[in-house]
Amino acid sequence: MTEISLLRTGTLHTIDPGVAGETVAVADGRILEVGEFDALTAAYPGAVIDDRYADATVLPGFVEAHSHAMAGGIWNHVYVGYFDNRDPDGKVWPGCRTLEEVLDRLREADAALDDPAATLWAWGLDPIYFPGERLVAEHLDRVSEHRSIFVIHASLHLATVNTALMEHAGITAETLAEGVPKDGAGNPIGELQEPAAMMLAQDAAMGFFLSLMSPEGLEAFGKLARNAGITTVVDLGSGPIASDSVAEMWQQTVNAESFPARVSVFHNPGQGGPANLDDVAEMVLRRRAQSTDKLRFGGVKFVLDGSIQGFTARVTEPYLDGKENGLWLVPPSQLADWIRPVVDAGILLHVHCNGDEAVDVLLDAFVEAVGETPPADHRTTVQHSQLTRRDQYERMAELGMCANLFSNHFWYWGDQHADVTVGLERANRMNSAQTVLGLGIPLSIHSDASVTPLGSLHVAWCAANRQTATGRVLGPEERLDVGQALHAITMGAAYQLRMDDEIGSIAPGKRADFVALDADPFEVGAEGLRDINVRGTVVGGEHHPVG
Amino acid sequence: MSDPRIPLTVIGGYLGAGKTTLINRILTGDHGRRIAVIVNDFGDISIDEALLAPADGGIRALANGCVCCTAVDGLATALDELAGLDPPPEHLVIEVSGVGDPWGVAQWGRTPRYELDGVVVVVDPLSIRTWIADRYVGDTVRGQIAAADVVLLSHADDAADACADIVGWLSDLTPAPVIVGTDVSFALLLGRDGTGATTGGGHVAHAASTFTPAPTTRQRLQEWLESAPPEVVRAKGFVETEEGSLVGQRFGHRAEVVRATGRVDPVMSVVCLGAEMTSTAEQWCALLDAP
Repeated sequence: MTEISLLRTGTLHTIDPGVAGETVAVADGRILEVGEFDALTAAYPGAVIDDRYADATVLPGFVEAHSHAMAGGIWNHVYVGYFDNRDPDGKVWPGCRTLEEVLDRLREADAALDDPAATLWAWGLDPIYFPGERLVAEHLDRVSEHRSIFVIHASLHLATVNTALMEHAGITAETLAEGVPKDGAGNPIGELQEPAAMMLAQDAAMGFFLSLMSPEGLEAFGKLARNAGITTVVDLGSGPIASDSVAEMWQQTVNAESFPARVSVFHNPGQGGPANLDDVAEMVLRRRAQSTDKLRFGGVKFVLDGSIQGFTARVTEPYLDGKENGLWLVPPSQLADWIRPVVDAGILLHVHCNGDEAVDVLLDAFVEAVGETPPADHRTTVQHSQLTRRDQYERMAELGMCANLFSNHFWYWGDQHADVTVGLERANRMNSAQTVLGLGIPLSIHSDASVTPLGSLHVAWCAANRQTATGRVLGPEERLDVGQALHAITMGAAYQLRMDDEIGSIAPGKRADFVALDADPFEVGAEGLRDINVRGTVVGGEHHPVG
Repeated sequence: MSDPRIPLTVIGGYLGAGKTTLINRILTGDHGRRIAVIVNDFGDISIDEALLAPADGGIRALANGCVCCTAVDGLATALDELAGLDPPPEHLVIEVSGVGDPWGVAQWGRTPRYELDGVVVVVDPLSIRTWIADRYVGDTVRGQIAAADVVLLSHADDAADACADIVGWLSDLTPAPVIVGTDVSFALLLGRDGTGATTGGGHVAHAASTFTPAPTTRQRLQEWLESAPPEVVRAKGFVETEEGSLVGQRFGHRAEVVRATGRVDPVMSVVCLGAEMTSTAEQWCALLDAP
């Protein structure tokens, strides 16, 4: 006979207005019933009483609808980012607030490496926080004159290397490649810009990128999700699942009972696989048939433009520094031909559009591809949607599209957006979540890990406070209340993954996916959301305690 | 002794410009070389893979993605694999995505196993004014043209008037020579093969000359390359200097000098537009010729 357990909680928020109680009856990994403890013990005599979270606040497990698996594997390397960050084992690495602190972190790592020939890789450096300063080889030479050092920037588009590495790789005054800036004497300063220049340091650069996707990296990704209270996490197109070996890596890792999350893996045609959209649709449908309770294939992601902080998002007004515009990754006139086979096949489509011009192109192409009356319930989602204007949201509402906003930007780059990239006016209406909700557009909010750390409560805090690292509040009228923010990181994300019938809220028949918190978000309020600790998660009835 | 690095030709241009036609011509052409092709585009690949002999290194289709997603499965891996073939391809052609930056891709020709031969941007004279004025891609297309070493106009046969009309207009956008017709000889498009023989035909007339340059200095070689008359589309060769053998190269308007790998016998090859070498071109060659 099936074992029934009663999960007794201190406070239960079901994110389903029709379901209330403080105890959840669970059987076979699904929710049987929600109600008062006394009523459920009477209804299920002999049920196992699980009261480990009887003093905790329990919610449906968080759902992250935009992150990348490399957020796990990247922790193989030394973190030198500006903000505090927590590794998969829960250790907090303080942010490096000065270039000297970056060097100190590298010195520690250098001393900890036994093999004197090993390359030292580091990640997370974002020069946007060090205006007027520049990390160069000369700095890194103070860490080691012998060991190769490769520091990849947060954008993953640039690296800074030391003299030992340049000597080993043959990067000299003679090097012609652009993206290798030189000093007054004509010698390279140690910065390698964009992929071709980075690959001048081929061993180090390939070593870094190849290390990002591995079974161990996926395990680390799962731990990061668990630590953040996330029970369903997306890899939004970073493991090329057209390849059987990559798909098998996902299957072997995520389908294992010990893996602490469900994963929805999207296919991004921009990183390999079939070279035309009909074949992409066929491949994705074939993979979709291999989905399991924990591992979902079947979504497709397109990337239209770059990033705002990289000045590569496609915008309708120039950047503050005078740069006219960013770059396209899909020819706009071709986009309708990309969309049609995917949407026609009933495949869920998410499209990266950081700038508002990218959204213009997407909306026109979408209508061209599927007509003014799109297929019912298509849930095509604009990812990031950071600079989307109200008139565009009105069209998105008419077309039945969803928006997944990159709310973490307020904390990580809000000051830079107001002062350096797009200016205060546009920064105030970035990631305008109340506008989205007001128009009835399904909303979620995300971290884009590893771009910012995986952490749904932090994302919710950002959307509810819109506060920058220096304490400015950008566009206060667009702040979410606690209930709206919690909905966005549970049901909102589940809806966009087309999984809202089984996850995202606590209700009979849904999967037993929960997060246990040490404080009640409604008690601590918007200001305190990011300080709440996650005690553990439950995925399909299986407990995954943090720590 | 020939240079062990693989020459790289980058072919750019917006959608429909005629890049694929040019690539197919290279694949079927009588140039006697093992040429590998990478199509860095997606969704619009119409190259017939059957055209390519298996020994040629093959065609690889690579999607146009961002480095953070594609570094491993992208150009880095493809270039590494091609260079590792035995024997390696004798020439690599990369077709850039319709919105790709050819000059960015050209930088792969400055990585250790490759040498940048040239950036060819194909322009359709019938649609280019529309694309340049397009609110979404005008800046992208403008950037592509500005990145060209040489611009080739497609539709030379069926749109001769449009071609004639567009040449002057394009010269405001780029210092690159604009050649009417994509049916250029392989000697002009890809340079000469290792033996120095001119290979492959084409209807756009060209003339070629080879001579033994006198020893000179790096600076004089650079100045000489930069002072080429406009009909000279291509010059490449090895020159003796006090610092050893140097490779001097000009393609279109871009001239550069790099150190040769090892010591190489001096030789310089020049390719001009037109049925024969002009006297201006002859005089220019004489400036570097051994007495």
